Amino acid sequence: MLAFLKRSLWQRVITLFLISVIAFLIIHLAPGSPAEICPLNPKFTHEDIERLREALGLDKPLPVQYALFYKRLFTGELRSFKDGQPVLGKIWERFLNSLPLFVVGTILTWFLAFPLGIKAALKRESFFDRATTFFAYLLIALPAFFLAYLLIIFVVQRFDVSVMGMTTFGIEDAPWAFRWNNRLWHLLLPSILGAAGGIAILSRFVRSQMLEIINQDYIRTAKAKGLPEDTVYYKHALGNALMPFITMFGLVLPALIGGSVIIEYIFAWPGMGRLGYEAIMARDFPVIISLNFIAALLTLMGTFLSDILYMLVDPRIRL
Amino acid sequence: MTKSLLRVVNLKKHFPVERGMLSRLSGWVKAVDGVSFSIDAGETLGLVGESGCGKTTLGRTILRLLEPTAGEIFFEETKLNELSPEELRQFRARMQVIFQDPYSSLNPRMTAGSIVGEPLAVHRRAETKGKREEMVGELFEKVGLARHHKNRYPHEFSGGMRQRIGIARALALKPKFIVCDEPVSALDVSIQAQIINLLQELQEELSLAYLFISHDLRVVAHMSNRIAVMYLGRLVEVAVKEELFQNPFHPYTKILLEAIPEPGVIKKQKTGLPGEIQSSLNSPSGCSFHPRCPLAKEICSREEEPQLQEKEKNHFVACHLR
Repeated sequence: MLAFLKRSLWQRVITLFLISVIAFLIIHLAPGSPAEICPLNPKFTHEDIERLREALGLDKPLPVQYALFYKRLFTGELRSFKDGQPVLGKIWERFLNSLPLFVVGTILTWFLAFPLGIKAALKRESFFDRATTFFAYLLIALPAFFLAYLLIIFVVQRFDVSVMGMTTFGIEDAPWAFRWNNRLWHLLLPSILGAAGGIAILSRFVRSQMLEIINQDYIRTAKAKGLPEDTVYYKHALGNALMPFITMFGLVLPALIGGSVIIEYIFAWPGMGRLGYEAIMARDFPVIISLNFIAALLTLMGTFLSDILYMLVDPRIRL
Repeated sequence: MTKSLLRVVNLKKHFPVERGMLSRLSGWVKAVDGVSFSIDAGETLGLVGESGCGKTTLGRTILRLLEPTAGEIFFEETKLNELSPEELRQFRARMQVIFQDPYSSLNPRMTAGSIVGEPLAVHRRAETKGKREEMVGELFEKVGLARHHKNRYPHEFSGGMRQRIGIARALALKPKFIVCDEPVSALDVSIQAQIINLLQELQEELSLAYLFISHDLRVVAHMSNRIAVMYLGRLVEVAVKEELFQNPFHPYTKILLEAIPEPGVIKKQKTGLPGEIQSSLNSPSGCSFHPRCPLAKEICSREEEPQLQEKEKNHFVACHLR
């Protein structure tokens, strides 16, 4: 077990290194240089661009740039091309903004998708099953931005509240209880929207997984033992049906970065997804590559975590 | 007539077949279609037939693992059809099942000990945990496993050992009747013999009654007192083993018997059966066997489905020509 963990950790370090190289190269292959974009000024001369290239370090050979980049990233000296702010500070600030959205969205998704999927599977072909199937496909088919606008129009017109951003503008001096209330209210709509698609898809997975398991022979065995129905379904079936979701759970972590670009954009939410989008538009290499690196790190951490969880949960896996 | 342990009267299990977007009912698969028989205490009734003839469905319907469409099941004069879910749950202690596939019929996340011990816990057969452990240990020894196997998981056992776990599990509640649903057909031949011998020893020791389902006539012949032959959801012949082998009435039984391979004998010509087993979705008119029957006459397709009748003492057959 320890040997496996060590090996697995090493493999992931190597993978992370390769990802860092490839990500760095791909960004530099992409059209449009940061030097040409930054001040979009028609009076910019060729000399100005050359001067900027030099200032940003883009004239050096790629391996040197690569080494310099990661050295600065790890020492925290890395600064954005766009505004000269430290990259890690920028990302941390946006991370704190994204975190509540991510946490509430994930909790909503996982805590609603499972009961819905399980109930639909156990009451197969019932009205409940058909209704959830219909709404799940409706939610999957409707694009998030379209649904978002419908919901925004509904909420704003019906309740006459503002939903854009993280708080209502200009309430910084209000009492803390009011501010908290306001923040929660703003959090609600984007979280629900972010979770909606996930609930629809995940509940379908849960349903089909559960259906597959309850038709297994060992579930028939459990019934033949004369166990109460709840024991059959929740002890024998659910435990086995949950296994594949350990893998999915491991992949939730990277969603922290790229999971809600559209939602954050629609709701003017200053989160990580939007930071990435803006950085791409501005050819802000340090921010783009740093975000990419962090996403890769989170993915590898997530899969590592699910490997460990598998070992704890599935007796067939002993490494 | 002596009181039989299990009596099945005109049992039917039909599955709806739905088609299209709106799941319109387009027909019924008559997996079990009017089956009647009885099993005495301590007796083995063998049930043979081709794949897809409804053997497994019959076994499961008797135990109400599937709900019967029609017909009655009596177990020691208790009518199983009328039991409430809770009563049925309690009743399961008296009749058990051994499944065909020892790989898929054991929960992969439970240890062998907890698989066998769980029914004891649920039906409160042991006062203390220690007593239960002791009972599980005894069961393990009874089926030829070691006590220390209790803490292993199913994937750590071979097929034959897994089937032993399945048998120990079935025996845990001291049932009087066990449906053996092809218990050896997933095993190697050498292991098959071990398991069959184990089942026979247990039968003698515990005076169990078996419904022994198999498509292998040799295995059934070895195990059974009486044999029932099934074709397309119906029993076509039921007789004492020796009688059935020496004097089969039904043409289908004759063909099955001819098809048994014998070591060292190369059969020049086998009658065989033309065609596949019919779909029970649209069963033919008259006798359901007539499209494949070598002796079929006009009467076979014109008349009603033949009923199982006692042509000689304790020898039942369903055929127009007999």
